[in-house]
Amino acid sequence: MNADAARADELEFEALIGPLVEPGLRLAFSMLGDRAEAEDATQEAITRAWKRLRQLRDRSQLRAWFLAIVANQCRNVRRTQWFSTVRIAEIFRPARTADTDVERIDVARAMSHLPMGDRQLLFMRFYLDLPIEEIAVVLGISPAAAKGRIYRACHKLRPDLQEEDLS
Amino acid sequence: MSKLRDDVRGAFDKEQAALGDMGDARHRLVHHALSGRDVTDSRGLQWAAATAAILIAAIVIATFALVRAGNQSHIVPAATPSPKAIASLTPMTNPLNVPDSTPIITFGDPAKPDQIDGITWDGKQSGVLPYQPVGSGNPANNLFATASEIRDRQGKLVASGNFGSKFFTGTWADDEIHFCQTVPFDNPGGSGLPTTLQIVDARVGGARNVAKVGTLYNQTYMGVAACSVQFDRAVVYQSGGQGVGVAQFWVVQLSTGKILWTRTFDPAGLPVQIVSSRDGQYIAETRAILTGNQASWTSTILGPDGSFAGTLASAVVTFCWDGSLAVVQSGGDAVTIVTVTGDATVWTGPTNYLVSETRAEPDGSGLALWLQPSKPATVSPPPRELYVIAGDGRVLAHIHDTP
Repeated sequence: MNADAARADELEFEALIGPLVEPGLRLAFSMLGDRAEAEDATQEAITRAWKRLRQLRDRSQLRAWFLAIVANQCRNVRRTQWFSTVRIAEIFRPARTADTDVERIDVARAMSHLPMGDRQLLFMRFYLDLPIEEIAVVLGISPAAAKGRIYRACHKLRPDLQEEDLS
Repeated sequence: MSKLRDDVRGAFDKEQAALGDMGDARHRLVHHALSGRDVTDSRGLQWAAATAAILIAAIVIATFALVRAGNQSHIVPAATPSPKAIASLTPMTNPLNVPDSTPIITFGDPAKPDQIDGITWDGKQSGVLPYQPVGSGNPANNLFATASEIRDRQGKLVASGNFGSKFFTGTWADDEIHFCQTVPFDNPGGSGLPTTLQIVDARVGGARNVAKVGTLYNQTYMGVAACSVQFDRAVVYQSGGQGVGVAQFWVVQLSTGKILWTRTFDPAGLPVQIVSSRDGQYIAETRAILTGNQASWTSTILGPDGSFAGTLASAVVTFCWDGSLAVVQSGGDAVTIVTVTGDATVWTGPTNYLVSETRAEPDGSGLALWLQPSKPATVSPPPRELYVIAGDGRVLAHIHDTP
């Protein structure tokens, strides 16, 4: 491949992936709690995306596909012994808040105790506003399973929540 | 439901506020993700830097991607341990005027990041390279390899071949004209593929199979830590799961393919990183030691036959060419150059900087170290410092970015 062709490939890649970097970085930050860690993970995810882009058959799934790579990379980081031993306790301390809305404080406090998988689901659904179908692709599960898991995560935050409230 | 949604979103909003301004994150991360495989290679970040990067990530002092842009540049030929910066606000324009056989260090011009400049190892001559190289340079930086071709310092095509899937993945040998690589490069399938160590003659692009060693899986990679034609050996390693640490390494005789010795590591233990001297004679195994919330590092040095040769109370980042010196760093300490016996410190770098890239002076004991701030930079791009250091610790040049 000559330099011009390589550069053209890179430009095309940046056009595709560039708009997804911010949601990817935000997802990584929500999972890792540290900007430098999140940037590292996102950058690594971009590198992996570059290497695997040709394996992506359906470009309409690009966002879910890329976020899945980011999430997977973050899980890898969290799985490392060093991170799980040293960093998690220090990064994910329950946050102190000056918020005066009791219900909101309760939700924030409950969220700080949610398993990472649940936080990831809620983040994609309520912060990134991803449709259920796309979340399902990110997690590699069926849309019905994704919806069920979101409901269960919400139920942990607010036990009186009804499943139909999610519709 | 909308109340819960709002509350959840509000909690995430608060959390995400700590992320701060996204600024140029999009362009920067994409650029560095791509250049991490390409430009990084082109500047000679080979196995040592890859290992250093993993160590640095493990140390988890903010690892910002490599950036070469800056508004001001300072090129400092110096012969003192404390070089003074001489400001140069414009990009280098003079061509580097040295024979192609003279080893040089290449770097991105601090005032013009797309321009690649060169400097001699004595720090006395510098200038723009006549051909702006793409790919990974050999130790002397007079041949440059990409995944498909090899060019000389003038840009003349020397050979073509298959040297990587997208990027050059070989490790240049110490004779300047060969490199080692493992094949296949990627796509090992679900159950992995056995890999073959090859040695390639860069003058013609032809590869010779040396030995079957290791297995490439989707979640791991194979690498060559040292390729020494002069000492007839290569050090090949297989990463741990998810690319973390090293699962096994092999010391292979290049002429016969014989495995001289090998080491495996417990996948359930703390990750081990290895760094080899360029001749494959000495290998440092670095492990983390966790004490409460503190991580420190210790390195065991193994000799030519794998026997114990010493320890260093730091992570080894690289060795100099003749093996007499090691670049070490532990936790947030300043990077230092020490004798491999550990009994003398030759040079100590500035505090709060991490090594991001290294080069060893061919046939000498000099070292080129690129340092970047250990804390997340408040400016973008973060500054990077290149020190060219003689074997006795004198700083021969200091190229300083000041955004």
